[in-house]
Amino acid sequence: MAQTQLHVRDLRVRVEETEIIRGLNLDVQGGEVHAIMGPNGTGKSTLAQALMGHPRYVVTHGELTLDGADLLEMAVDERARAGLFLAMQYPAEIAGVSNANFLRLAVNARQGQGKELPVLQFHRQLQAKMQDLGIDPAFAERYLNEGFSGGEKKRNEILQMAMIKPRLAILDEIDSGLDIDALKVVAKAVNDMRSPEMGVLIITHYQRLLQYIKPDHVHVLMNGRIVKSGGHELAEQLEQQGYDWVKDEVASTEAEDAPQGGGES
Amino acid sequence: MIDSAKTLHEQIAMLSRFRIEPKWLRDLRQQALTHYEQLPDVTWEKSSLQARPTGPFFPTAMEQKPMSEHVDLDRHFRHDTRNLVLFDNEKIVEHRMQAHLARKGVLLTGLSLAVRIFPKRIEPYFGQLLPHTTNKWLALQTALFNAGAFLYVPRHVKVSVPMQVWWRRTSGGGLVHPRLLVVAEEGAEVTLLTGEVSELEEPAFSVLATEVIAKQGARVKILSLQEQDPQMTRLSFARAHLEKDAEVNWVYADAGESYSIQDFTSVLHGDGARTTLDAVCLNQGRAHLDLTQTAAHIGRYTESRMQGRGIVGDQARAFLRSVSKIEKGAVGTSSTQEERLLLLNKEAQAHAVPMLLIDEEDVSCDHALSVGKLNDEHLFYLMARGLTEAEAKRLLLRGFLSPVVEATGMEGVRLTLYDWLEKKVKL
Repeated sequence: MAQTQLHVRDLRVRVEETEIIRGLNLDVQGGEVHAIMGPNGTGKSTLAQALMGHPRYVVTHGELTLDGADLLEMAVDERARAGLFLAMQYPAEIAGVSNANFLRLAVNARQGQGKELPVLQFHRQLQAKMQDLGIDPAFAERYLNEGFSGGEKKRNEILQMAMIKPRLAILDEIDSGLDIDALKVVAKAVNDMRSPEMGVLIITHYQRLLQYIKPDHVHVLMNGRIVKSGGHELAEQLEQQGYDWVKDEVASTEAEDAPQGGGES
Repeated sequence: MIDSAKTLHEQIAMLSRFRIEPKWLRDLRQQALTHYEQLPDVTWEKSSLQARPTGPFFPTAMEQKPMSEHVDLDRHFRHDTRNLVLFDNEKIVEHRMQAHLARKGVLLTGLSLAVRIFPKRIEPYFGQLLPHTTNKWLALQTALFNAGAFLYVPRHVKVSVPMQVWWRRTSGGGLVHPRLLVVAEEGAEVTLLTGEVSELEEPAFSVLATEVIAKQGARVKILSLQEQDPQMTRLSFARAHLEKDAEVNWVYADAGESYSIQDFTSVLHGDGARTTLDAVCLNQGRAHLDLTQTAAHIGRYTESRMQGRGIVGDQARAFLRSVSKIEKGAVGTSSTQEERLLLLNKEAQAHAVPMLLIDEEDVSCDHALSVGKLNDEHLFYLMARGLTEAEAKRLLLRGFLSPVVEATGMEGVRLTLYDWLEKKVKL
């Protein structure tokens, strides 16, 4: 299979009346891990939800393609079947729907009609992946995320990712609510999946996760735009120095860019 | 055979003679009819029969249309029909029972036959729980009942296969009034599956009466499946009397489009008696369902659990009422109610009403109810994993029903309900 490519050009996203993402550019190639960092309230989760197509997040402008296909023309489920995956910050708890049943529907949806995984093979794969992630086999028959602890939910998201095998995985604050051991397990699962056939976009507030999943590119998101990009060393710098220096830098660049005698007109 | 010039009293007397009914039943029918003529109209809070035709009560033509092949409510129960009574309108067209059960004294038969052959098994119980004096419609039921079935299980006999009674209705008017009497002697155990299905060319009306007597330590489970025609109007009264340590489980599953008023009551008379009242309703079209589940606690240390799930679409209306009635002296009672209703569109209506009528202090009661629509975030989550909107909705609806469906403990009921979800619910 060809290398994945996610292509985001001048994306603008509105939630109700407020524009949250204000002209965002991003390219993720297969095999690459990108991290998007930034202070709270800068639009990180909005970006994740908008990429997936949550109806509350309205894209008003820009381009968004995965492997050349226009995601903006697609409904949520079509994006998923095209290979986009979002590991959610707050996974839904759904009573009455068993984890395994749901996952089989999801895997088969992604495989496409006529290519469904046989039941036995599915269960073998599921058991193997659950073991890798240190998930109790009994969780397969439990209701989807119902009564799961924060950490269990996050592991379950990664389990889904491992089973569904997306082209591009977005991990939205996957590290929140995880203790260090769980974090290592999750990181290992993601690292094991790294291949030219999958790109990864990690959205995180802290640098902690990035010690275990080394990103190729780190981007700082502020006021709905990527204001700075760099290698994984940028993440370390942010961890040590915080975000204020980036804010200052942005402010001075914007001042320079402003027209002569500028300021607000 | 029926002369239309005759009065209703004369016609009923003729039917009694034709069926060779004992004197007590002949008299009871006549008394009941007098009551019907004298009693005032029944009024309901959420229902009215004003716009629904109820008669005529005697046929003008004897010919009855057979039911179409595709009406197959019993499809998931055909693999085991060794103990079954099947009615086409008021006539029994199939009746089977296993010899080994008959030898143990188990009876599953038409009520009008049973009343002639085993009068002592019937007379002490008939009309005791649902006397004809209760209301006008039960008076009419008692006067007219025709498609009756009787199930009797002797002491300590445990029947492991489900007994089945099916009513198939094609005739219009108020001609068919099913009645069911179940007597489970001390320590007996039995499951009875009943199904009602109708396919009508004109409006039809039925009043049903179900009486269940569960003696000490007996366990009776009654599952009722409904797939009714929109032209059907149905009034159904079901009441169980539980002695010490008895258990009665009611399951009501309805995917019909009829105008139905349905009442289930368990009277927990003996100490330690237990009951569950479960309902799963998939009301579509212009269905109207007015359902009341009541647990009346009289004995000490009795338990009840009421559980309802409704999926209401199109212009359907569903009213689910749960009543825990706890009398003074019913110490140690435990009663829980959980009613959840989902509305699939703006024109559908649903109301859940919990009622606690408590005259005793030493009790534990709990109730939960919700009326709402499918959760958008749940839908998004499932669709974000590649499920189409329709797949995601069906999965959510299945999940919504599953606590009640799984509690039925019967594979055929489970399959029927999930079939209904696929075929009847428009998303």
